[in-house]
Amino acid sequence: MKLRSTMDLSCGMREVYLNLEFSSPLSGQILLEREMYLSDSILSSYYTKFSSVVDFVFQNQSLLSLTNLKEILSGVRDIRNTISAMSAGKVPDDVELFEIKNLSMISETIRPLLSSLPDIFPVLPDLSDVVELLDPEALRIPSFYIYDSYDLELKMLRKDLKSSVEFKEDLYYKCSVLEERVRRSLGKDIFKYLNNLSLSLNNLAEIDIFLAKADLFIRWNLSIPNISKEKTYYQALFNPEISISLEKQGNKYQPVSLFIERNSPVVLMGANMGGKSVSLRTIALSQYMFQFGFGVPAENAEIVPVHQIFHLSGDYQDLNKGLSSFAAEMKMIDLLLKESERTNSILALLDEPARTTNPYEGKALVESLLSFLRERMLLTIVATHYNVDALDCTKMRVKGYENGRMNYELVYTQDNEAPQEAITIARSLGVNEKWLEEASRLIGKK
Amino acid sequence: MPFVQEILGYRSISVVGLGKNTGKTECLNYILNRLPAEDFTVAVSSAGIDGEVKDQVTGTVKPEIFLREGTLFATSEKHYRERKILSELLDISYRNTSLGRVVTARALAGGKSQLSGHPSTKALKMWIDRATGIFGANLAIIDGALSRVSIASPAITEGLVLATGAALSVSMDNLVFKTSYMVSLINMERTSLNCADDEFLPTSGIWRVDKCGEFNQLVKGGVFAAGSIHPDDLVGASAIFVSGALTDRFLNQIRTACIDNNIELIIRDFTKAFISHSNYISFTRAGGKLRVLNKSKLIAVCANPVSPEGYKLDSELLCEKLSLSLKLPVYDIRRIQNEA
Repeated sequence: MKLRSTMDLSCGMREVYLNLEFSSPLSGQILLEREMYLSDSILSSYYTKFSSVVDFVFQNQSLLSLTNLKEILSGVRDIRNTISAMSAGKVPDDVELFEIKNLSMISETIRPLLSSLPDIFPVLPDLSDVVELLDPEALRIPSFYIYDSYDLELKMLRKDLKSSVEFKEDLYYKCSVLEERVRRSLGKDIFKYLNNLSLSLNNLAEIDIFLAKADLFIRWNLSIPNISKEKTYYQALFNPEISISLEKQGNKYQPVSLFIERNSPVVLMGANMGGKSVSLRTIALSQYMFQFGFGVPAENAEIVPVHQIFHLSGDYQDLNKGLSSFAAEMKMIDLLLKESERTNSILALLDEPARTTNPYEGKALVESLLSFLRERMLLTIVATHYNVDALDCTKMRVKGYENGRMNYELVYTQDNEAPQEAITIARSLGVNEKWLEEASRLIGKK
Repeated sequence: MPFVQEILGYRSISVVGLGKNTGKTECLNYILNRLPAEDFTVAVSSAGIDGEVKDQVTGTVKPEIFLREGTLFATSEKHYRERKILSELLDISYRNTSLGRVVTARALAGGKSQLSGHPSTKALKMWIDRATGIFGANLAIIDGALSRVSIASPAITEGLVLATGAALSVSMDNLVFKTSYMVSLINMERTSLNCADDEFLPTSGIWRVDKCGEFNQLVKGGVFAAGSIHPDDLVGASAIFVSGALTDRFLNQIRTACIDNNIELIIRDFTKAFISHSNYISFTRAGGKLRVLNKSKLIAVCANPVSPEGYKLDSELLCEKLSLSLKLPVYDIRRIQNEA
């Protein structure tokens, strides 16, 4: 899965991406094409590198060479097309040679800067020969044209051209032919450096990505999780997007902590407005952030990398496809079950499955789903309002209303009964009192 | 040399043609040739994405722009590749236009290149700032296509030179009439309201402006979406700001409200006034105030007496008539070139 395909998911990866401050637009494009890290070893070696970058950036935020580095990186342009066209044998034109000169000069400016920094960034190849080639007069400014010093014949012709009062078109064309000859030979000379140019472009983008991610990591107070094989554990997990908007209003996000184990799906119960959906969304977001190498929004975490993340959220009603919300949901769960036959490397986050049908059948559907997912050893969280009778599940519940305020904390519970707080919450919203009284009376009667 | 001396007092000017084949490019070449040769750098670019060698509509050959050594110029990648000039590439923009990115270069010897332009008014403004700032040009000249397809507005330059000619009409009276209408639009007064900088003003919708410069949206979308504006919405307003084009239909709808309540009607610049002469006159004569945010000083008018079909008006008479009507110096570039 590429980062690009997470952009339209409901869990909020787009927000994460949009908050990265790249120096060069190229880096964002390269990052979007990056595949999710799946294996433990890749993730662990990535995070070892990333944590040293974060440490470095954190300690040296005001370091001149770091701001300088970012400023120079902002000149990097996306010239992947130019490089690939040239490696296919295209003779470069002035614009392309300008781009190559620009890249090599940036790369050569940054290379000595990196050597003064600890050994944490990707190494840039030596492109001094390319700079030499495209700056024969050693002016070291990033502009470019076919310099006189490339060709003596050209130099003489240009002298004539410059000294003539009238614009002589034939003279100009003669010059063009010679310039073409120079470009051809420059193209040939540069050919053997194309791999290095491409490497340099990628590594410059890599440095930019590292810096942008480290910056976000520090700004959002993220942490680097441990990699686990068995269970996922979060201590003080928070949703960065919501927590920022709450802080703006002067409020604080209440973080939650939880365990997910393979042999015991988590059943999440609790009142409406208790933050169940937000928690599921945040877990999905956090899993993606972890596997795309951003760090996670939690104080402490231990996470099992998975191949697939199923986040069933909200209402899937799609009138255009003629599917009711129930049908759409069933199809998604069906897909989950099919995939689970192949692999158990799945994180299943189901927000109130079968919520739109009658409680009697709904309950049975959820109970049986839980037992399937447990058998197949998936990492599962199911949020539900049904009083499910689920063996070997871990039951958690939102603490709920306490002294007129919602406590979002998640606690373990043994009850099968879903907490009955719907009426209390409706009352707190100021809903018609007569109706709620009548409802309370009916409950008392039963 | 007429009016070139005056141009030197500006940081940026645009040369605008009233129609196709009115001699805009010739006028531009005339100016470029007569600017001081020493210690003076000029930067040229275009406000529109056009610049074919041959006029696609009338089939006439368009003169190419001749650039002297040292001149800075900006053009699209496509036209940079087709240039006939020895030049040093200085900068490439990040944004794409339909002809590729915009390339800025310096002429190392005299030569020719098509000029083609910037994707938006903002980009054009930024280029002028860059050219006169970082690249050190003394004057930026914009080839401003006034055909309605021009994307960037030339009105952001300090000064303006208007090219008019027989291509517009072979009836001299009609030509004078059309030109003087355009000149009166160009000379529309700048609004007296203390509005924010153009860059921060809304880019869509119709807005009411209060005395202290506060904006409130009246209509989302352009003048075509404007059904009617309720008189109550205009109580206490000092002005109405139309962010896009001003049309006859909208002007007729709003004219009484504006005139009765002494409300200014503000548009961005003269290129946004898509209104007929009669409507304009009847609005302003009745006391209506039509104002602009950006105004360029009209420096001179150049007249081309030859139409692409081959008609030729009497040059001297044309200049005289225009000058009398516009109260501005009017030149026939070809004639003064021959005389010089």
